[in-house]
Amino acid sequence: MAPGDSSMAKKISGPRILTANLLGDGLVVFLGTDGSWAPGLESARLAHSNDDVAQLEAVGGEAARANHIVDPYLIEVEDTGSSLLPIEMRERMRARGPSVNLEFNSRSNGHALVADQAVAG
Amino acid sequence: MYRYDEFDATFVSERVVQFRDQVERRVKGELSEEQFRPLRLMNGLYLQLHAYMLRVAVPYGTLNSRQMHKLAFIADKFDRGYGHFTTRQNIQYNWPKLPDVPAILDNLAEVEMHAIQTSGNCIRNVTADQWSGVAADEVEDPRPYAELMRQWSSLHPEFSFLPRKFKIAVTGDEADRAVIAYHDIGLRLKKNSAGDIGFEIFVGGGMGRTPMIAARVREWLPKSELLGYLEAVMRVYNLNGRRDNKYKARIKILVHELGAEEFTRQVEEEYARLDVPQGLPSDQELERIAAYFAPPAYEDLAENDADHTQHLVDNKEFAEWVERNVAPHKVTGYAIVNISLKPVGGVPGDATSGQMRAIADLAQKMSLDEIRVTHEQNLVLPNVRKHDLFAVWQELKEHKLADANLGLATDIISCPGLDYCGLATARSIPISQDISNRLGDIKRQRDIGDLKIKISGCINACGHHHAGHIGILGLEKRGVEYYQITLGGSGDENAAVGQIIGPGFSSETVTDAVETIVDTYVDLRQNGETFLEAYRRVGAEPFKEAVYATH
Amino acid sequence: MPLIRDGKIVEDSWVLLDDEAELPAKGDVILSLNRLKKDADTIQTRGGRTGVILENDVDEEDLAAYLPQIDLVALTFPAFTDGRAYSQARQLRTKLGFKGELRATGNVLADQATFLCRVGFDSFEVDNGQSIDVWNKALRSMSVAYQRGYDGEQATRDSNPSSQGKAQPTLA
Repeated sequence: MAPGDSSMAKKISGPRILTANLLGDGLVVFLGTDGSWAPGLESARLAHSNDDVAQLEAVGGEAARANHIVDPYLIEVEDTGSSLLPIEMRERMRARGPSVNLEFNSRSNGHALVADQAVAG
Repeated sequence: MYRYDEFDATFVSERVVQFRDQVERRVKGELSEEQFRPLRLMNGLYLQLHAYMLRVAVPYGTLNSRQMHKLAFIADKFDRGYGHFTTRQNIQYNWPKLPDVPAILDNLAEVEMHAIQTSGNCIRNVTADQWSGVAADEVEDPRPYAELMRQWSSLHPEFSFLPRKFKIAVTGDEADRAVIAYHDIGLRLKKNSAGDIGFEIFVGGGMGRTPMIAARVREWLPKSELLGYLEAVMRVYNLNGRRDNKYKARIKILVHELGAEEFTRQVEEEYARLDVPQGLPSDQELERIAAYFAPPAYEDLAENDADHTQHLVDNKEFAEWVERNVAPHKVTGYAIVNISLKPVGGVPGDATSGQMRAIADLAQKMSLDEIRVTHEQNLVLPNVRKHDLFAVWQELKEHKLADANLGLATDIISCPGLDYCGLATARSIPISQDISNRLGDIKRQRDIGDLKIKISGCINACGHHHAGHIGILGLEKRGVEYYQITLGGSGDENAAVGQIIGPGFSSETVTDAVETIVDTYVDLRQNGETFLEAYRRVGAEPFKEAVYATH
Repeated sequence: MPLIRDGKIVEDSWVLLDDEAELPAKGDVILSLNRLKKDADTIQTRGGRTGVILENDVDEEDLAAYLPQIDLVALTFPAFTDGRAYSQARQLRTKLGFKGELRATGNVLADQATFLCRVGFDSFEVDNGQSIDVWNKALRSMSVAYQRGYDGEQATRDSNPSSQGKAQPTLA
């Protein structure tokens, strides 16, 4: 179930960000630099060190206990300078939304499409 | 079809009240996610990749027009205007909000539907042959027994926390359109040597990472003993199925580890010591349920309809659609219309709310108010007068529902894959679209003939790839999707597990590989043999050679 | 750990006895099956009732010979998703005809109250902080049930609650 368990435990080198789904509408969110949970990952708060990671985990745990979000976990991203790209395919899909049914799904869910180029094709 | 009485209505509406309370407790924080998860799952609510997903049961695949209208209403009011029909005769909504779900369930209850046990480690929606009750060569309509099992399995006090999910399918025909060999329990109504109708019982089929064809545990069981026998099977499984490893928890593993013979012995022993009357449905109850499935008011019609025959001559496109998508009906003058939800390049199994309404209206006007959902993610109008076929076709065409590709290369089963599913490792829908576009030319499809391509976006095999003549499994390696191809699988009465042909393909090359396989078949086929027949004759070698020589 | 019986939180007179601990002369004790087998003779002469706690992988037939001396059987739920004890309870009640107290211990959720009652449990050790009100509400949440031949207060289709029970002809 929770890919978070393994991701959190795994030693990874790149920067990480914290993601979850909102309890109410279930949509994908990322923890932002301002402490809010937002659908786009452009303004996500980056963790570069173990201390950062511990802090993000603490914030996620608290938000989950407060029943704002569900199943928080860290994902590895590549910081291209202009955007953040999740490393794993699954996380790229979560970040960008479905690549099909665009007539129903495109942008209406508020998902940033920054990762589009990464999964195009 | 079955209609709820006060008892059924009370059951379903109390269940909604119960779930509403659970949702409220979850939102207030009185239930943790860990505690809430199994409760929501038992009401069909998943948290998927992008959002919640609600899976609504269409018990044994039967709907009336009022129910289909309601499904369309829910799609518009609570979702994004479409729904996805699945391989287990469910419909999935991809974007419901948690606080709305009780209201959705209220709406479903109004039309005698629910999402009970469409997920969780319990007995799932009981599925059946989509042509039940109308197929020309059926032994008996299995739906009364499917309904009996639906009721029996709903909130079963003993079998609601099984080692793993549990799927039952039933058919009343020699030809298997319900994939019974791949179910935890597969049931087939058949006559014994004395001419009495009973159940042939298969246990331990399944897909997933360990595909298995079910073993026959009973050659024939009197119909009235069905629930007692099922109770014995379920108890042996509940007590002895593995709970230490999720991937070894299905009943197929228990059957495999014990051996079919020992498993059968344990079931028979348990069955022999059941308090027998407890296992038997009362005759009265069976009759009460069966009465709902009495044939509808068919008209006394001639075998052939002059107008219909003329349309066949005048309109080639219509004639081709009839040839592929219309099947013989057991009642003279009627036909079974199969509606393809596989437009070339479309999303397999998806229907918009507008399409749902159009089909609901057609069913009401021209199919004695009945619709069926198939495991191949298509729909059926089971009771159409031959005279009305042309009008039905025109109306379907109007709504982009008249693709004449039933059973052809573009009639692809596909799971939602990584576009929607939290478990997926790769996308499957875009691959199916790509293949569909490539092979979409209808002349070419008709020349290729019967071909079942099935695509799963992960090893769980919801897209039935093990049973595909050509099966495709989407996997991921270091952030890149790739696709394994299997050949020779089948989900019918001669079920077989497809065999991997070799190294996987990228998302860019998998369609080329499929096309090469298809072309290879076209080149080597003899005397009009189908793809599967040719494969069974020549084996995988010629296909491997062709594919790996060029790719 | 609060104990629920008859819709109320009640005092628990039973003590779970460690296999190494000495058998007390008086008082109600719950023993492991091994201990029960070992001390079967002494048990009959002591003052106080005897109960047994069964693991999920024990064949309840193993207990059959001792049942006449037993006033309580406790079945365990290592996780609330582990449903083996439902079948064990069912077997104890119907096949072995056990009439004493059948207790659910371990990870037991109020939302499972109806299932537990229907397979024959009548006391519940609840350790997850859910109130008795939640428990009782859950127990009353469904007034009807499809499976005949199981216990419980729910009406089945052709029976009313008062006449419901094992003597009824059953659908399931």
